[in-house]
Amino acid sequence: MPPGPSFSPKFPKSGANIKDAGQRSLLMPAEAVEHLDARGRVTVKAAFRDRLKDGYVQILTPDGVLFRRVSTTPLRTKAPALDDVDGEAMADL
Amino acid sequence: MPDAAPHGGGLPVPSVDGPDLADLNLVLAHLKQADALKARAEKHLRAAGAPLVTFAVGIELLLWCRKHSLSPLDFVERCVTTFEVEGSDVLLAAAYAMERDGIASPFDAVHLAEAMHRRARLVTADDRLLRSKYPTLAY
Repeated sequence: MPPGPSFSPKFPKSGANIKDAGQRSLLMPAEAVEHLDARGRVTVKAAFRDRLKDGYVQILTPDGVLFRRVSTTPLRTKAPALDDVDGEAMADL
Repeated sequence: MPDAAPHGGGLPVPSVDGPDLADLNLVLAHLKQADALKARAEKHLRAAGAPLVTFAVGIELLLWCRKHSLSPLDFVERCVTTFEVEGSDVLLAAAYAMERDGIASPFDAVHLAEAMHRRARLVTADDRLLRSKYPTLAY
């Protein structure tokens, strides 16, 4: 069970059911993170807005809202540039 | 007054006053550690700033990740923190659905993510989607 809304936003403690290799993440129930303001708009609560400024992304999942820290290092891949790929082959995916 | 078409005929080309739009090559050249277009992309980004990434390019990114068996979550996360991305919430949720919830098709993942974000159900006859944790309705 993920921690409730009383959770301190100071630390990004990993949720027990999240397996991240080298990336810190936090799973929260959606209600703890977002709410409707007086005008009916969905608003991210202030404590979690700070998390987002700290290099995290917020992902809505069927299990709740997941905060994941995003690494800034470029991604290693041997995949070719798109210029080397036949456009029709891409369309056949 | 719109500018005349450079080829001389046809409809006049409207003036360009919207934000620049990125293609997937530019996005990948920036995100990847090594890429044939990396130097050109970085030079452009330093000079002109980051262009807008449309939702269509986001879907193309998911397709590209699947084609090369790469992590869509890693690429989409870095993309949304680097560029302004249309529909970034839905793209992130779709990448998560592909990587963690076993939704193989990027389009199915986008449809499920869109439904979840709208607090709606995806009406489908696909058993694999109906068995998923995402909100669906069978027909």
